[in-house]
Amino acid sequence: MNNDSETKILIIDDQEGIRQLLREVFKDSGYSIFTAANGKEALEIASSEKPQLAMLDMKLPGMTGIQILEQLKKTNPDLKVIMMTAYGDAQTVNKAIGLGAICCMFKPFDIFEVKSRVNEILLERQHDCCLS
Amino acid sequence: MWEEREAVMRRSSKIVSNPKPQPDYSFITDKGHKVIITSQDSITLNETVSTYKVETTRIKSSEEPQQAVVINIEEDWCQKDSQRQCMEKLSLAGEIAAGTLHEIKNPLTSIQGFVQLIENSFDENDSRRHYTRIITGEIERLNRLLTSFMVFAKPHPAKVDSNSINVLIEDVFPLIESKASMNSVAIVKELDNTLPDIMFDKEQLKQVIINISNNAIDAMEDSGGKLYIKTSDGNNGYLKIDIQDTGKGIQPSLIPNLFKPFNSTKKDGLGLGLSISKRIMESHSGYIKVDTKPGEGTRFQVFLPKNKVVT
Repeated sequence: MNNDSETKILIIDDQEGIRQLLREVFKDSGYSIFTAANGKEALEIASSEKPQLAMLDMKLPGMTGIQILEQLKKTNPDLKVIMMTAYGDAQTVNKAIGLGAICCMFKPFDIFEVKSRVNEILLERQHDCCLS
Repeated sequence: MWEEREAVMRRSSKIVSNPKPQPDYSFITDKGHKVIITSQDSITLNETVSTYKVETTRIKSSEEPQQAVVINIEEDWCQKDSQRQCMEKLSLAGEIAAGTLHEIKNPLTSIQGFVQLIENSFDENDSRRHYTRIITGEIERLNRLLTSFMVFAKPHPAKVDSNSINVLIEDVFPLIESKASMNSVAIVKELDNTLPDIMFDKEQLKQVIINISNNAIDAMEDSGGKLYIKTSDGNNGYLKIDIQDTGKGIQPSLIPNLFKPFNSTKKDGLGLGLSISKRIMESHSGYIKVDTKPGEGTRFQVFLPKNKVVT
């Protein structure tokens, strides 16, 4: 069930449109895409699928993005996490970075830039990527 | 207890005669507020959260040789009460607006993303790319609008630190220089290097200086001119930044609404710059003063309190 050779991306956003969009963006990229609409789903998928990268929205129903980030990093410290936010609140962004997130993307973002940064991060070429 | 021989409750005042300095006298206003008079010269309005002190006026009555006190509390109380309620409502409205604006950015992200995907599916020379580019451009415009509204609806919390207003001006300079140059406006700086560092949020103050400077440059866009930026000690407990232009000035009819939101004379202006600036200055316990002469120019003076000097 868990094929270690494939690269897996977990997209965590309560907005159906964003989940669908990011699925489309990475459709032909060769990555396996998993989506979650809340923290509970995200933690379950992270545990069973062990993704290499997560794209995590800051504002979610129930657990916040920051709380999910903490849990994800606790169980998988190597997980690369990109935060997504529409707020642009510097304090929360800094908190996420302090908790181990690689960077933060501010909505609305350019999907081609997102794709290229995700590729770079997965290839470990670049670790700081604030998109706005 | 004071003896209440002539206590008349009017719409806005209560007269208490024979106000000898005695232990606290209290009564309930017709709005149900408890008023406690603690001395001859002042009264205290006690409420669950706040205490207000209101000046009183002593009067003499022919029938009553001793002084009486007119307590003008209702108007003050009502004013403060409505101000507080107004602030609470504004704060709530700001929260709702900020939340709503944020929620709009989510569908906007999907729309922009899918439009980009649609555009990418067209051949390079497909004329329909023209349409998708218009959509993308409009989305960018909407996003800029939303970002401006968000700043207005819920300004970021201030990060107050010890800063120099001269360094502030130097930092802002490159950000306004190109616009000035494009409009044939020369910037003349006159910075007082003896000024102390004071406490303020540099990013927020940058926004104030940029907003006012951009307006000044806009006022000279047809004619060109000079933009004077001067720092000095206001000699009133405040440091002062003067931003003066030689532009067309502000029409007197526009002055009353100058700092109100959504009030712009510019073609694509949102009318938020000065209202945001005013809000920022108020959060710093500072203020903005404006002098203008139509046809000659305008001077904005930004005052920041010195009292939190860091040595």
